[in-house]
Amino acid sequence: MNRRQALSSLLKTGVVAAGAAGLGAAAGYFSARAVGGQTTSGLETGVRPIKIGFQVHRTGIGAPYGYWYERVANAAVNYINKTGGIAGRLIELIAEDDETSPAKGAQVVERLVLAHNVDFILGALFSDVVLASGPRAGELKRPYFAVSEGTHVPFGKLNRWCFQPGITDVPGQVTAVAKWIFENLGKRVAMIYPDYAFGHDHRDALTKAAERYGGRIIEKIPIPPGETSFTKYFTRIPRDIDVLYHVMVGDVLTFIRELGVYLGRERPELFGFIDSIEAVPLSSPGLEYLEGTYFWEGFPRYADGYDTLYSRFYREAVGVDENGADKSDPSRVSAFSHMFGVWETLFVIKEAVEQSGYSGQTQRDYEAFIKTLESMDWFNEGLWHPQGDKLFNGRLHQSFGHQFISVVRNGRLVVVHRTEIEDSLYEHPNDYTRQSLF
Amino acid sequence: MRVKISALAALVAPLALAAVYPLLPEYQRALMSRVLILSIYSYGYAVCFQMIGLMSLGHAALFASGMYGAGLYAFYVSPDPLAALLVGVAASTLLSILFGLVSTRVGGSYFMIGTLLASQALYLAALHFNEVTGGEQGLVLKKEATIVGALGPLLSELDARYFTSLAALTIVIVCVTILSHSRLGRLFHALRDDEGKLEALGYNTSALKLVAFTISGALSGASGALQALLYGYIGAGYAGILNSVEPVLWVLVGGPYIQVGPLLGCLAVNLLSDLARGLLRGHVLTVGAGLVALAFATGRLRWAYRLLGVSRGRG
Amino acid sequence: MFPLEHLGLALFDGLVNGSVMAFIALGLTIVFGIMNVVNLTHGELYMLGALTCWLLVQSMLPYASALIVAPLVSGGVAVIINMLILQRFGHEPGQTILATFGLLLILQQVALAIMGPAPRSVQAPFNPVIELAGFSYSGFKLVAGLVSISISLLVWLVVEGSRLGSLLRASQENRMMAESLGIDTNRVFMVGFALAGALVGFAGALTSPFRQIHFLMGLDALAMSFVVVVLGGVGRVGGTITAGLALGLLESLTALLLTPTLARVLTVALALLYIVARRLGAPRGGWRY
Repeated sequence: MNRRQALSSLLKTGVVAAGAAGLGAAAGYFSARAVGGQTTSGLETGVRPIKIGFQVHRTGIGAPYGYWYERVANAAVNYINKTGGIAGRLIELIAEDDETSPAKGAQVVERLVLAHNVDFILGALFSDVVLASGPRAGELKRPYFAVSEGTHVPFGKLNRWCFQPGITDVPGQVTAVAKWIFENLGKRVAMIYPDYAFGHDHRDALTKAAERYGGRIIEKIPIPPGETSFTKYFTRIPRDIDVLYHVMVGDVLTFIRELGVYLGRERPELFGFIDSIEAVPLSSPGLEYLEGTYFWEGFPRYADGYDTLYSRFYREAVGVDENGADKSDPSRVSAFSHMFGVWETLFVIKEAVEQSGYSGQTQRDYEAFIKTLESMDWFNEGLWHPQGDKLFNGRLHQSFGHQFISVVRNGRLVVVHRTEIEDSLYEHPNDYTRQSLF
Repeated sequence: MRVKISALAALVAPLALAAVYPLLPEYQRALMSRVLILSIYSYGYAVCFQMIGLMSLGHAALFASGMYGAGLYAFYVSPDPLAALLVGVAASTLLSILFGLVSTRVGGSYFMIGTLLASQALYLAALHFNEVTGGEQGLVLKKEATIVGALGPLLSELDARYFTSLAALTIVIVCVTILSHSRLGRLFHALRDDEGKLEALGYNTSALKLVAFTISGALSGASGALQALLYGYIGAGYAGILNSVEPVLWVLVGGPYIQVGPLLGCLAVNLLSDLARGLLRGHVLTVGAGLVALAFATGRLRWAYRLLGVSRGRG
Repeated sequence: MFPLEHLGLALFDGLVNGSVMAFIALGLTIVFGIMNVVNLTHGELYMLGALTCWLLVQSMLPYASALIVAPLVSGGVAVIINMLILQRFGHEPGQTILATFGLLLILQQVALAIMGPAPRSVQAPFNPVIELAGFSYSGFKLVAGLVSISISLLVWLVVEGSRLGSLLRASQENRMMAESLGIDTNRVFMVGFALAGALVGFAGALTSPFRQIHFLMGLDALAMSFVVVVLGGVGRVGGTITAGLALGLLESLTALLLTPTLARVLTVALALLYIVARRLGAPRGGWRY
């Protein structure tokens, strides 16, 4: 190879390297300037807005939830901004897609804090994203609000900067409904659940509850993720059980269809969690088998399941009709049992800012904010908490609330029981207040 | 002459990356730290893909074995980041030898799918033993167990991450550059271009492939171990198929010179995705379109033929 | 150990699932196995077939119409992709991988925009629950399984037996020679793509009444198809059919004996061992199919 060729390949490499460096610089320049994603800003002259970072599952497997979480967040922010903001300051919501991926989730936290300089972060539902993001938020010293049902926050897997005040967790939910199940449906239970965190939380919580309330878990059937056909696993379901407890996520429509064919008419009672069919219309082909079966609901999809002044206001604000579907598109059912968590979390942030006197991103402000939040122990039912009142445990950073049990009757969900908050309480040795903040 | 020039370019890159650090805004420093760690993975993959011409779809398992080796050691045994790093690299090296013994005996598509299946098995195993591994949800390491924690008094988190990953990357670049110019490296290239001839000359081609694959796996595992020890999170997601496919893209985009290509490809794909995310709502769509455009752009390079060993016009 | 009727169900379900898997993988055998094109959009074409079916049923059209329209849509998209993109760089492997991966992402986002993120389903046109030897089974799924295996066998005859198969192979193996013999290789590739697309699009519509329709469903189908194609011996349609059936049976039987996740691990491990044990593809020059 001669000199000319050598020089030309050096030149090519140099050009590519310079190009990449240039791209990097351009990326830096533009992203430092870009606001990124959807924002709601109504800047009053002279008053700095409170920037709230919103980690959304816009794409990826969490997309059905992400869409509704974003709608509710925007509705809440609009309402707060119209009624005086937070301590007189308007909220600027900065939303970014985390692709429901833990790696991207942690990156989004970095973007929100380092590039957009947000005061607080909320929004993730999927536990693996929360678990990858929470530590980053803790490092970057920003309060991080999960709107998940996971045990990551309450069981001490994260840090003192992480909270879950807007929504109840799986152990709380299961403990509350287990009592009712054993008393009303029967004591011999078989469980089908996905073989990862969400499913394991159910398995562990129901097992503990069974010991407490005298139930018996006869069989546990964990299904690996990504399955598209379940018939081969149904042979594990014992014949002589009272209740089949199912919390399948993933190919749920197929699951129910195949379950119906397998069990037939002579079936045990079925108790499921609405997570399986969140954002899915009950009228979907394949779900007919659910008629007469029971579901946990976090917040009843059908308005008559829990009809108060506050729930009506909330439904109106987020644009959902009495059947729990989008007012402008009735075929689009909402994730009603989860999305309220976003609404309530934003109001918890508001309350904590106003009570603590938080004004800027200083150590003192954040310390006051977190300690004030930890000292709260009750959230009243109201416009701010339409799902119901909540008991907040400052050591666990977790809320406990009412749960609903509904039955599928004539193609809709009808509430048959609303649990008391005491029914859902559980003990855990975790205590975030012992951790140092800085 | 050409050899020395591309090697020079490879050594210039780490210096450039160090020099540019003070100029970068905070977020870009954090982003680059991640990309630098992934670049190590990219180099690891390139050793298998570019040097010996075998396209694996299972490298996520090797990345994850390093991640789990280091992470589980730091979590359960001892919060000593240096020891954990060594354990991580050892674990991935071991797994690469096992994988390699089995998979390098088959070629082409069979290798591709074989590695895919092997990595699926590892992913499922990580899920099955979720009490230990944390499964899909994952585990969070304590601060003291991480490299960032160990460097705590000296460097800020940002600095620690950036310069640790840059230091590791520099070592990897130097090693790969030396390898590509060494006799072993030339044997690898010969293996890729015409295995039959090499065998006829009396070389044990299976052994050569195993060695290359092991180096490839060890580097990928080192990347995974660093990821675990710098960010303090390990999860089964990193052992999934998408994590096996990404390095294919980086290496393809990066170009033929293995000394700098993996770095450039990883930088280009990741920085562009981040830029797209910052500017547009539909960033996944943009990344997709970008890849299609890139496919056209790399058209001119004849290396694609040589790289994948497709014989053209030889009847 | 377990009641005999469970074994019956396992075998039956395994065969039905297996024939569906083989049918879905068929298009990939043609495009990847015979034509040597790493088409990562294969799974998305399957998803498009299912999406088309859902859209038609939503518009109150009979399900049967989907069986005609879906293959046209998927086949059409496949042909367009080939013409506008893949052909432009002569199906070079590296560029094909990049381009089809990009297209995969684009198609997923398009589907997300059209159908939204929640899963969808369609009603089967008929679905009696059939009572067999001690277990019940979905009548429609059984018919789908029969249709799958029948069409698969038909394709096998056509591709292996007729000129089409040899034309496809010739165009791939030695383009220049084929061209000099007067074969329009571009046209041949087009037919291959159209056929593969149509088959997988039809499969998407066929399976919709018993599987759910979701914008991410293509990824799983893609991975599964590649495994089936390679297990059966790349480029052999008959091998693809056998591999699909075997895999379906293997999944069912292991699930009888072990806990579900372990059953999956075992299935994957056995498939891997099989590939290795055959010691096939002893390579001459790296990347050869």
